[in-house]
Amino acid sequence: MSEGYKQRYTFGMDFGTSDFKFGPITCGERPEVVENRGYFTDKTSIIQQMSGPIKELIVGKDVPLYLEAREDLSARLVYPMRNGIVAKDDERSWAVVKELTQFALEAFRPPESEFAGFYLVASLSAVAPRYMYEKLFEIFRETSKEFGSIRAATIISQPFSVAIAHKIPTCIVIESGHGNSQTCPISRYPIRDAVVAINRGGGDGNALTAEILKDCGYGDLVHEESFVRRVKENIGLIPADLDAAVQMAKNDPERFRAKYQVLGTRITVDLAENSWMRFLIGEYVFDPDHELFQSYFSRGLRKPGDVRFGDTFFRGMLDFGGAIVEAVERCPVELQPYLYKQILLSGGNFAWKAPVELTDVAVDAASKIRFLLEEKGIAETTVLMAQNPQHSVWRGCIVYGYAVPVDFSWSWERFEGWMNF
Amino acid sequence: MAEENIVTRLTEFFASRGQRPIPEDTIPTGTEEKPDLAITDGKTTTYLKVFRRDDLQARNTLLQAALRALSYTAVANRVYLALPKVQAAVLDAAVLGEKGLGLIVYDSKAIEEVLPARLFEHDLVSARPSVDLERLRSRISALEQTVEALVSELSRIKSAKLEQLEVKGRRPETPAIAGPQRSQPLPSFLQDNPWLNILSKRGREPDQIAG
Repeated sequence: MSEGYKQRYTFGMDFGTSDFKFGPITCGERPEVVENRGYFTDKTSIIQQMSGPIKELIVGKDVPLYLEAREDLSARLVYPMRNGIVAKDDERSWAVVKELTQFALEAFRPPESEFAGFYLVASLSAVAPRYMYEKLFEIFRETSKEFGSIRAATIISQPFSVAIAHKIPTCIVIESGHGNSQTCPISRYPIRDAVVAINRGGGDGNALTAEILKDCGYGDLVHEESFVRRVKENIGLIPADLDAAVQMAKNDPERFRAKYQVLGTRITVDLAENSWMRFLIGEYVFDPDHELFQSYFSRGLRKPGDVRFGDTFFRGMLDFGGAIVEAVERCPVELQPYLYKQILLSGGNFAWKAPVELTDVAVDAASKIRFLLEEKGIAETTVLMAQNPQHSVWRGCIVYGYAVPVDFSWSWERFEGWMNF
Repeated sequence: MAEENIVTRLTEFFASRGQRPIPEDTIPTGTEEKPDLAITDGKTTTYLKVFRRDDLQARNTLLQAALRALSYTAVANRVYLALPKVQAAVLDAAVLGEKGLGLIVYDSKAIEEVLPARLFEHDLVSARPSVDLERLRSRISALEQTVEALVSELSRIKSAKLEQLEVKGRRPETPAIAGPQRSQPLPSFLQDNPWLNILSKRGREPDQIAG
């Protein structure tokens, strides 16, 4: 197959923790986005039987049309990539991945007679173990055989994709999602052995926010995680220095008052004299190792622990600055200054507000990372927030598929190249 | 799967709008071929030409069938083309709208009326082969205009295809990364991206530690 053919039919898929982004190169700047989930219908349901034959597994934008108000809804609604990793024997999650793959490819099947399958570039979490690559290739092979929609496929890591989309060949990418975060050095290749994984993400910020809400008298509302997340996003702040920020907020609570009215409801959250707590939320995500958090741990807040998923060891309490230093120091000494010079933050867990009127105390994620590195003696850094974070992984996939030669075959040593079907 | 029972699904789709199918042997003639589905609400009639994916391998097939469907307007009050959703993009809806044809798209899950058909004022009685000469003249004139528009569109597509083939013939087998090879500009994230040069050398450089 020619380079021209491959470039015309390059297809990207980003298996994110919450959303699945997909589409061919002809999508232009933005891919299609659906939630990365599938709904297993209940074939024994009388309502389902009355409405005629339906598929066993529903994915895509139609999922809400099939949801039933049932106690077992959470068991039927499967989010396969919640932590970036799918267990090897989790058949339901793999079934969702397969259905989403086929749904995406069929949605863009070109009418041209010359079409003989896409050159598919899929992107997985940097901590995805080898068996996930093997399983995904197996799904692609079956799809190619059944529908002829894949000519060749490859899989790259999400941080590598982000670096490609941002046109930076040498950098550190920190990807922080709902369940965990990864610090990944990249120098023309992803340096897999230097990846430092952290068992902390947006979900941990939500957990601390829930504890703060309980302390402030809103315990009856914390069972809805989406509500807690909205509170976190609206009142949480990252302090430049936690001790100084807490002191200032305690001295002048009105200036730092955290008040949030939930749109379309009568609910208003007001931390009042406890508004200094809003700084705990931001600090916890970046550095949970502060004595102020100990009282929350002793009262039941789950302390982020060190765990092993697949081949990867996840650190619980390591701060982001420490994670960057550790990742860089696993790389050749000559390369280290270049890695510190470009640090790219990607993922929803870095989207924090820094109100103009509080800039003397509250900072954005990039500034916080700079401060954490300065504490460790690293001064010469440039920290950037990924632009269009929702689409950058898909964009990197398209660039990769467009550029990598068609005759570069997949190598299990390098984790790169095309697997031909 | 979406196509196997599409006529049945379309019948149900129109039934939900209060229209019922006209039995095949009582569909008024006056056109070269019968529609795939004819329905009525008691006052007006609607004819449908249904396309399946295999029908659409060649663009000519679609154009010819669309032309034949236009002739249904001599008899029916509304005429629709029904197309698989993924292939509806090959049709210019504006041309259909100009001629009063409606467009329905379908996939395995849903049927959607994308473009409503124009109402042609005539009833079943006046739509017999003895229709008056003026009406036939205006229909022929409309058909001629449509043919001209479609021929012009076809030649534009053919010339674009030829251009693409010429470019393809000139293209080297190694990735030509320097600039766009497509008729439309490359997306911003592909323009001036240093990774294009780096990645295009994969497999052609000494082994490096990928980690």
